[in-house]
Parts: sequence; C-alpha cells; structure tokens
Amino acid sequence: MKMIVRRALFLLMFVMLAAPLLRPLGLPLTVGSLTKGVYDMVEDLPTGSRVNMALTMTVGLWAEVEPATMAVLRHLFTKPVKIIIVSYFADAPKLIEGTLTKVADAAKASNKRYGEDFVNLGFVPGLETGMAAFTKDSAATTPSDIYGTPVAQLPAMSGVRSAKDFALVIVIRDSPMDPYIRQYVTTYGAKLVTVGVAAGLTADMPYYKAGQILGIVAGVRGGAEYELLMKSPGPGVATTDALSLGFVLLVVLAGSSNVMYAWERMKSRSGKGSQK
Amino acid sequence: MMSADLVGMYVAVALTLMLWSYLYKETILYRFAEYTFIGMASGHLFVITMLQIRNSVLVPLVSKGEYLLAIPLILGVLLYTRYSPKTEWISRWPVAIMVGVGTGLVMRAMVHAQFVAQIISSITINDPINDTVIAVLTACALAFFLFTREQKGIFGGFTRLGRIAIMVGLGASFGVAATTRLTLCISRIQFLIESIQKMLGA
Repeated sequence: MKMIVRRALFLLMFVMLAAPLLRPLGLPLTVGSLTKGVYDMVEDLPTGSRVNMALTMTVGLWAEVEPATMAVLRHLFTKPVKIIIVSYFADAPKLIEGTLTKVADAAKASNKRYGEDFVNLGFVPGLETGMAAFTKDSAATTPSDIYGTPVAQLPAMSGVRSAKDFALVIVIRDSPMDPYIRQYVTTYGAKLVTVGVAAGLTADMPYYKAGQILGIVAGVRGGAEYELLMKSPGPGVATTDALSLGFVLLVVLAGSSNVMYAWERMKSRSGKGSQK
Repeated sequence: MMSADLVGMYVAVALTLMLWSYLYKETILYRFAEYTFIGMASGHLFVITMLQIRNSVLVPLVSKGEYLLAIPLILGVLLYTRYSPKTEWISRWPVAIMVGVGTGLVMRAMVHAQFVAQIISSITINDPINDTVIAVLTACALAFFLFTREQKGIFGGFTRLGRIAIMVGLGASFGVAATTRLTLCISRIQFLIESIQKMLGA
C-alpha cells in the first residue's frame, strides 16, 4: 500500500510540474533586492572595465543556474566591458562554452567578438590553490585560453595582471562561496556578486549582510527575476510556474503528513492510556 | 539519415527515462544509466586532467626548458607510492606539501573573511528590527552549544530560543534545497517535452 501511495505521489508531482510547462499559467513574479543588486552592479560597470566570470559548477546542477547565467551574459554583452571567463571545476569550461553558443545572438547583436571582448580561459585546477594563483597572476596561471591561443594574443586580456584589475567578479557556482571570499574579496578587495543554486542561498546570506557579496541571483527563480529586469522573458520565467506549483504540492504534502503523524501519535497515546 | 544531434537527443531521452524507472523500482535500466553516467564523468575528468598536465607541465618542461616544473611533476608521481605498503611513507611528503600550502592560503584570509567581518556584521545595526533579531538569535544559537552550564532558568530560555532559531535556519535550508531538486526535475521534464515535440515533428 505504502509503495502504491509513493508512486502515486511521484506521478502527481510529475503532473504538477509538467502541466504548467505545456500550458503556462503566468503567475505573478516580483524582483527581489538580491537579484537587483547583481543587475545594478552590471549596469553600473564603467566603460572599458574587465569582468571576471568565475565558475565552480558541475554538470548535475547546471540546469538550475544556466537561465540566470544566460541572462547575465546577455546583459554583459550590452555593456562596453571585457569578459574573462575562468573555471575552477573540470566540468565548467564545456558548460559555459555551450551557454556562450546559446547567447551568441546577443554577442553578435552587440558586435562582441571572442578574443577581443570575451575569452574563455578554461580550467584552472587546484580549486583554492588555483584561485590564489589566478588572482595573483592571471596570465602566468592561464598562459592560453581553452582553444590554446596564448593570452598575449587575446586583446581582452591586455592589462589583466591580478584580481585588482577586475571591476567586478561574477561567481557562477554550486559550491560554497568561502574560497572566493577569502581569495578574491579579502585578499584583493574585489567587488563580487554570485549566480548560484538556490540551495546555497542560506549559506551566502551572512556574506551578503557583511557586504562581502554585493548581490545574489539564486536559482531559476533568480534567473527569472533577472530576465524580467532585462525585459526579455526566457527559460527562467518559463519554469517558475512549474516551480510554484511543485512547491504548492510540497507544502500540502508536508502539512498533511505532519497532521497524520500527530493523529497517529495521539491515537497511540490514547491507546496506551486506555490499557492502563 | 539521422544527424548526430538527433541521435544524441534519442540517447538522452532514453537515459532520462531509464533513470526515472527508479521511481517505480530499482531496475537494471536504472543501473545501466547510472553506471554510464559515472563512467562518462570519470572519463571526462581523466581526459581534462591529462590535458592539464600536458599543457601546464610537460610542454613547458620539455619544449621551453622550464625545469622547475619537474618538482611538482615528481611530487605528483610520488603520490602513487601509497599503493605499495613498502613505499607508502614516501607519499606523505607530497601530501604534507599540499596540506601545508592549502592551509597557508586559507589561513591568510580566513580570520578576517569568516570571523572578524562576520562578527562586525552581526553587531552592526543598519536595519533596526532585522539586525536586532539577527544579533539576538545568533547569540542564542551560540548559547545552545554551551554545555558547561545547565540549560535551565533564564539561560535555558535563551538556549531554547537558540534551538528554535537553528531549526528555522535548517528549515530554510531544506526549502531552498527542495527548490534546487524541483528545478532539476523541471529541466528534465522540459527536455522530454521539447524532445517529444521534435520527434513528432520529424
């Protein structure tokens, strides 16, 4: 019986998630201050400044972060800035390469060219050790980009020596922010915002309150908010209806299971009382 | 004739359904998909690591004469001595260097980043209501972990409040973790819908 109920719940969840994807409900969505913080930081970037997009992402959780990453990249392409992408996880270079292909239309529309306006430096191993090396001497740590082109031949990299040369660091991550806070913010005073999985939000909040993180785009909801700020609804907005309905079901299930638990407990207590 | 993209889509759809068969019960299809994923992930990591060693160490060492790079290369090779009981002790040297470097890099910024800045932030009042609540609940949550004094009376009240604060924090963490899992599920459903539409269109 329990197994049947469990399977029925899986099916119910599938229906709740799939229905709004087939027929969007258009539930209202408001933009929070965390997402607005990231948007404002990108919006206020001075002409000619350099932005470091640093990734600690694995393929398993990329689906949650990609809509927001696409929105941020589209926003960056509208600004007169250089984007330097570096990955501290082995999966990340290919993931961001795929995303760059998806936003190629935005790059083309703004006349942004690979090598001149944005570069993908690929994977830097060692996580925090690699991060410390990259922030200290970027060119020495990554002598060439992901395609093997020496950084000396990449105009976007000219003048980049250390983390001090970045006007903004945008961290795309599914892992804790601690290494970035230590190596980028505390050591070099970098301005840092993050695009991450929603599960990391509670861990990021102390850093946000302390001013070490200046903005957070959390999960697909954050991505949807960023798309609204950009006035171009995309994959983030498309999935928020399904997410909302999924949560309604989760709340109903959590509530009803607690009521059932309390009922069972009460029954067993009254049973013991009558035995006495 | 089918394009490589279309074949890839069919394979991805099949693997997704194989993995979801676990929701019914653990099947051989689920296991096949799981092992395929683990194998591919391991293979990808192996190739990336080998390319990194070739590009960052071997090429500069051999073609550019950067002989200092031989030191980390040798230390890396020494890590594998741990597989023999007789030579296991040698692997402790590279491990000691890695731990030393890692600890040094973390410690140089950790005290300010994760202690001083957080304490200052906790006691600084910008938003009177929120910041006071955060400061009080932080103190109460820390008090909960003081086991050298019996938790009763006024102190017991503080620790109970701290316990509630911890439970609220864990609840929030659970909520956002659920968001992540639901999003991943939605992304797969979206992929299946789009793929089926393409298949029917084709």
